[in-house]
Amino acid sequence: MTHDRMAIAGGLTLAEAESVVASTSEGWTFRAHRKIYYPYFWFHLRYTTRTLLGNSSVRLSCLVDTRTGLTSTTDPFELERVDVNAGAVLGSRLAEDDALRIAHRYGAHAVLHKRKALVVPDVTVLERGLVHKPFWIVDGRKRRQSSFRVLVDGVTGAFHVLRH
Amino acid sequence: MNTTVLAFLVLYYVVVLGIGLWAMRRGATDDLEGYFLGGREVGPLVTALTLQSTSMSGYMFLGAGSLAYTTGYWSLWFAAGDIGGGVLNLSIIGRRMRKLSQIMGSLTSIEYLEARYPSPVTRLIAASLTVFLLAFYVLAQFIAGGKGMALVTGLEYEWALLIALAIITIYTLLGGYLAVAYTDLFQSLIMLVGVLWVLGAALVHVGGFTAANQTLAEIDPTILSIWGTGLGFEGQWGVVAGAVLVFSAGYMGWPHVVTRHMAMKRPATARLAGAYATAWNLLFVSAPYLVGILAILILPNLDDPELAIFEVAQTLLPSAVTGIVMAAIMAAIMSTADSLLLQTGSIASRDLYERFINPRASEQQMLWVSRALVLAIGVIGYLVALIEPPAVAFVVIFATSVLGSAFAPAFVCAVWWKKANTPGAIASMVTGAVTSVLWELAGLAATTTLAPVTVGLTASTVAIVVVSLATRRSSPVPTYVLAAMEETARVGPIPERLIAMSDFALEPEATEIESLLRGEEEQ
Amino acid sequence: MFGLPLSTSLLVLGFPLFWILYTIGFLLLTRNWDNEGDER
Repeated sequence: MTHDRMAIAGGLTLAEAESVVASTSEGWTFRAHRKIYYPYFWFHLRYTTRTLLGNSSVRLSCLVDTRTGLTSTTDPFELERVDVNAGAVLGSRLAEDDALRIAHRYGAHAVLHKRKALVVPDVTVLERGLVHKPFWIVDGRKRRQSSFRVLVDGVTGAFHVLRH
Repeated sequence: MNTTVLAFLVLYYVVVLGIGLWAMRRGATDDLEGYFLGGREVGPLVTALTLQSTSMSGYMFLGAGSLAYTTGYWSLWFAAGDIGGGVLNLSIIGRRMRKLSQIMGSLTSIEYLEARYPSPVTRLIAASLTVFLLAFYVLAQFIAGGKGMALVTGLEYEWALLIALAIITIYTLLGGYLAVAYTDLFQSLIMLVGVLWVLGAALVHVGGFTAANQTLAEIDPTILSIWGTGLGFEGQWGVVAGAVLVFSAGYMGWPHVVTRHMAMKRPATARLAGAYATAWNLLFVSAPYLVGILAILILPNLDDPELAIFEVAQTLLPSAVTGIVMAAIMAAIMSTADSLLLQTGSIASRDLYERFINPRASEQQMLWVSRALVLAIGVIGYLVALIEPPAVAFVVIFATSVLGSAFAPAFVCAVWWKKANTPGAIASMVTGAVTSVLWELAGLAATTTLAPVTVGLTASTVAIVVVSLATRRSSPVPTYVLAAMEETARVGPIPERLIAMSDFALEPEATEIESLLRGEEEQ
Repeated sequence: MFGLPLSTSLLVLGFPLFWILYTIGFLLLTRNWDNEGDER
């Protein structure tokens, strides 16, 4: 069974994911064997603060991890429609409204830091949606016996070792 | 007093002190990690030999000799377990303990137990038991050291004791574990030469092994039996099992021995160290018992059986060789004593002082607490060893039985059994310690023909299994402990650069995806 | 053997033999440990 999902486009290919990790570890062979789609709520927000010189607004694009609620800002990205197998996509654990509240607070905090003013900004939601980011699972191997697993961010190429 | 013997003894101590100073120059005492574990840089040879010489101790020369002299070949049941103690320890918990202790950031064996079985109670019980039993155990080494020194130098026991003790304490304070590890290596080699030399001389003196056994049979054929002189232990398998278990399984409960696993350079060191340990034990372990048995022929009317090996050495060997052998014996005693002192110091400072008395202690303060405790044990130990010294073999076997009963199941389950939880480990430690102590104090070994260690180990094993299972819902093992155990179980490296360049912002996603993958595998 | 009863010979020689076999078995089973942590 496949699902129709919105995913962040322009990701790493299988070979690129392998070479990202391989460049750090001489003598190891790496094989990417699986792509997993991780769910985020994406919010494009506009924060408006009133100042003595008139209104000032800031735009912010952020991703809320729908499984842990952790939030980060993101660069602009394109979206594409993909068909994914049921086993290759993680389910979301957060309601969209809760995610929006988390994003608001995160954004407000970021804006206040930028403005260095204790004001409450007005927020407008410009765009929103459930988006998926691809991750590659890469297995590292050396002389048959030993192996370990790395998670590679399919968009940025950042990676993290999996304990499992 | 024999000047040649004395000259060799002095030479020996100069070398040992020199090694301690050298270790200090290399920076062994710069910080706590260095002081306790030598910065986890100890290779297989040093690990194996220090594991051995640390555990062999004055027991081998005083206790083993005396057991063999009084019970004949029955005493070899102790050797039967002892030979495999090193490899058993290293093969069962060596690699995993090294890895798990590093993942969990533990320096001492107690910290490690608390990390695996999270609760302040774990630490309080484990640390108190250990400090008390190790301090008791170190007493045996002081007595052995004093007796040996007195015999050779002709000095009064109290002066001999004071000198032996002062040297042990000083070099423990100087270098920390690295000094201890390297001085142990040196001492192990000297010991091997010494004991084999005595055995060789004794065999030549009695006209060979077969001839000796034939002569022994003429005196009393039961000396040759596996049930003890006079067949005192005939059919008592519970006591035999205890003799075999004490220095094989019981050995896994010794905090000063298992700490050495944590100091290994890398987890795989356990492999080679296991092989070295067996090789060493095959050469060394049975020898003191055999000398003790041969002493029945050589010196039939000894006043103090504990001095059997010393007396054989003095009777048969030239003075210079006696000096070396004495040095070997003192080496065994000192290497055990210093390991014990260091362990006790480290447990008292980190596990009791920092944890329960002064949580904000600086590294410097803790180092001073360790040092003060080492000094205090030296002084108190001196007084007890002076006023009413118990038998070396009794102290060592008793302390090992209690430590083994209390800790062996907890250490083994820590790395092998995921269901072992905090209440289980606490129950196991308490049950093991209480059972084995009561068994000894009530003299139940004689009436039930079951040794304290046999009963204690069984009780603590049953306790950890039953209590862990009974409380698995109310006190589940935390998931981070399970994750660390899984990582420990896996044999496999991860390139360090890869870890260094990892993006920790991906940690939440990694955790989520891991649980997805794990869930799939379980299905 | 060596003028000892059979049971005693077994105790004196049998246990060392057992531990030698145990050690060899341990070394054989753990051949893959050696490449662990070899990046240091």
